[in-house]
Amino acid sequence: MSKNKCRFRSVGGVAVSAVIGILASGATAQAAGVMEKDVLDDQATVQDVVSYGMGPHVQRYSTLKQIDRESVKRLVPAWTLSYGGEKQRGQEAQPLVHDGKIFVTASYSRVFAADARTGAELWEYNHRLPEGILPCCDVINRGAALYDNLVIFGTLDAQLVALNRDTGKVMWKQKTDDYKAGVSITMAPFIVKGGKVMVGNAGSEFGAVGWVKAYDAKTGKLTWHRPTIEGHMGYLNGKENGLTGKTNATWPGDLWKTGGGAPWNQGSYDPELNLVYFTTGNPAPWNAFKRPGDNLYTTSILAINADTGKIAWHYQTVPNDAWDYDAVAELVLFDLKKNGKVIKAGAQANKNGFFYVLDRTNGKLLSAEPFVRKVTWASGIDMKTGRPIETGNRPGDPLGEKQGKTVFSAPSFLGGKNWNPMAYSPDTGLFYIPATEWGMDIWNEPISYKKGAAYLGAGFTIKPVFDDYMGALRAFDPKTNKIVWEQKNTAPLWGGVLATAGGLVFTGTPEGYLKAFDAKTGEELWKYQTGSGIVGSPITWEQDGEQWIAVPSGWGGAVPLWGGEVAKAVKHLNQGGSLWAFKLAPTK
Amino acid sequence: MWQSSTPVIVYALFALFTGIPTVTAANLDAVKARGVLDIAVYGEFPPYSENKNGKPQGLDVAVGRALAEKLGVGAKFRLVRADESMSDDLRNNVWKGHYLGGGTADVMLHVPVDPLLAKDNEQVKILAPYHRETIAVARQAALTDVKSLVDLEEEKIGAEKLTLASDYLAVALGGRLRGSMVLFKSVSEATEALRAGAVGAVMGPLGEVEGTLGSDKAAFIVETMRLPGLRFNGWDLGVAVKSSNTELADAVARAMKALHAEGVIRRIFQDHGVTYQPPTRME
Repeated sequence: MSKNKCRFRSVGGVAVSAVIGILASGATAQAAGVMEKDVLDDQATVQDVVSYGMGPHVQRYSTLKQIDRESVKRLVPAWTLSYGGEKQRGQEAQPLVHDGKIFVTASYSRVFAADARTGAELWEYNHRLPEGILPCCDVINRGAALYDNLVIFGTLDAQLVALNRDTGKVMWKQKTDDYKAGVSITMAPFIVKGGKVMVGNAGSEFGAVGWVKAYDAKTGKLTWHRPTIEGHMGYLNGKENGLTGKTNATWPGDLWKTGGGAPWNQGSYDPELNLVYFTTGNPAPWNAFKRPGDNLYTTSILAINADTGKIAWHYQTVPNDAWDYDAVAELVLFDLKKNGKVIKAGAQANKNGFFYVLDRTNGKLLSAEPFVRKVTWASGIDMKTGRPIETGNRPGDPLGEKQGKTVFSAPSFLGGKNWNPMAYSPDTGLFYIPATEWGMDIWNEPISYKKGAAYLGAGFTIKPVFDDYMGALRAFDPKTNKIVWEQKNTAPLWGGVLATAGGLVFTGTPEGYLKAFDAKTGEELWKYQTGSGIVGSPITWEQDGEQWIAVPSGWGGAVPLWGGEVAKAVKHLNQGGSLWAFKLAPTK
Repeated sequence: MWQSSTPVIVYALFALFTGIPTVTAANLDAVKARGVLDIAVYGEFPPYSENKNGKPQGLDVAVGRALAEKLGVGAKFRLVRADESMSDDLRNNVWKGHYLGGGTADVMLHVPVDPLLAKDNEQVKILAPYHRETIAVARQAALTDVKSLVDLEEEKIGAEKLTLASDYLAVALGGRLRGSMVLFKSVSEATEALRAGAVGAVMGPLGEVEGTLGSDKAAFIVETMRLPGLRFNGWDLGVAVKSSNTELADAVARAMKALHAEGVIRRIFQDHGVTYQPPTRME
């Protein structure tokens, strides 16, 4: 098979390779599509970014080093693309680049394609959203997958849509679930071996049951379906494929039916083990007293066989969650070199404030230490059982004596780190975590109201923990479990991180800056104001011999909607919707 | 968010995709000038409000029509979906509008009249109570000797998921009734199971239980029950109006008083086969 994918690094080399690519594909103007191999090799190939996380291990690391500690001072905008219209909020996506085109999803279930050299728009897709959708946490979308000639993304009305990458025309559409039951898709789908596209749902807030589904990426046909809550049946090629877990093992009575546990954020993939790693959300309902038991597989890391849709192992971070500590932070796959051994590991900076390192072949816990300064709900993780050592600050029984009593807990339910992806650099061996320090008051309200009726609810209010900062970009060493450096930020950090072989770490701030830091020392080397808050994830690629950086800008997401006192502190930030591209200015 | 007569849908969609301001909550003079009261009620919510054959119907719809008539204007309904909390619904439908567009209604019905809810939502006034909702249990007629919920321990008890009834069955009495609970998507699905004999009892708001049993009500025993541990036994339902629209709020309160005095509200409940319970916080 021919494909326009070459490994030249020199300026001339890229130009030549492009010509070869065209000749090899039959001398037509039509470039070859993205192949499975391109997706699996995404991290190693610098001319494109075809997957969310920049490779199946989702390390968000690039071997490019033209932009380094010195040259970064010359980094300047090359172009900017406005998404237009009035839909100026919550641009949480990561762009993709292939064959001279850049693709980015935008809020309100939109996709834009532009010339990656000029930023000139090629097409846009505006998904027609039905009336009455109620997404939990803004109208955001986190990104797409490229495969063959398709751009595949999920919508707020729970559809999976595949667009022709040259025209933006719909090639196939698949309803994954009922949006009226509160289900939506906000995560970026991703490609695994066998041409399958993987996706998980959002919507635990409405009692929807979490699931992971695998579709044939070319046709949109469902291959398998794995619910994340025990007692629910899985399916493979239309046939029953075994229950998830064992009914009523960790859920009493009928409560597993509304279990929650949506795997709403990023997944990762180990092609050698052929395991996909999905991380699941909180149980429903929120109030833990209503569902005694561990409530599997909510707030868990799940390893699922990519071919069979069967759960290979699980690790639950918070049994019987009472704090809304979704375990949905991504599991980043990396080689842990310790005591002369190399362990196939996975790392997660969890909402609950602990940094977990697991053996990704079997789910065994290797370490779990805090990456935030204030953790009150647990004093540590028992390394024998893998369970948290709770400090007793669960909210009280809503019908008990302490009815309505308030407890303070840190981190807040928006997490020491939320959905926004961290980066890992194999050069430094450090993880770069977009962390936030905040806590919350939780109380069991004797009466709350929903749909005009009373119920036993719980109230949450988020509060900052420190006076001088909330966000903190932290370099974390997975071998020593120590914070190596940190850079504080006034507002919570809500965007993704990128690490490069140039010794740099990039991330954006809600205040609007894209910033570059020294990967070893944390020194801030460069920043640029993009005009609106950055809550998206930056990427880098090589084009015509130059290293480029791109990042979406557009404030929004859960913080202004849910942030309590914190929401007031970020009220002044302007919304927006644009994609920025940067490269080095020529030397004088 | 909109489900109403065709022209309204068309206008709302048009506005949504062009950025032209949609209908927003108006004060009394603007409502009168428009000639129509824009009323938000919940969709798929029998017997209170639902779309039947393309027309809004139900108890709340009838109350809304009566209210509009008293104000001397027509009634238009938006059948909305419930968000995570009542405060979300008030924000989405009365004082701010949802960020997906669609504007706001002049009034919203089926809003609990509770000082705590009002305190959390100062952008609206919650007034004009018209009914008191309580928790009831409907059971098979053969289950005669039942003095409290505990006597139903051996039975399957149906309840709508994520409601007070399912909360209560899951938590109360040390979780004793947890194993008896069968969850349904809605009260109507639960009462359907009662009809079919699949469950021995259904727990839920009296109005919803009675209303969804309809003419079959007589075949079952329907009773409100004391719920040990709960410090309340029901909640009043009223109307929310955007706080700044004080004249409309006053007019709605006056109109509701008149409708009570004339027996209109009581009659509406009778017509729908639901036991009328006067609100405790009559203004």
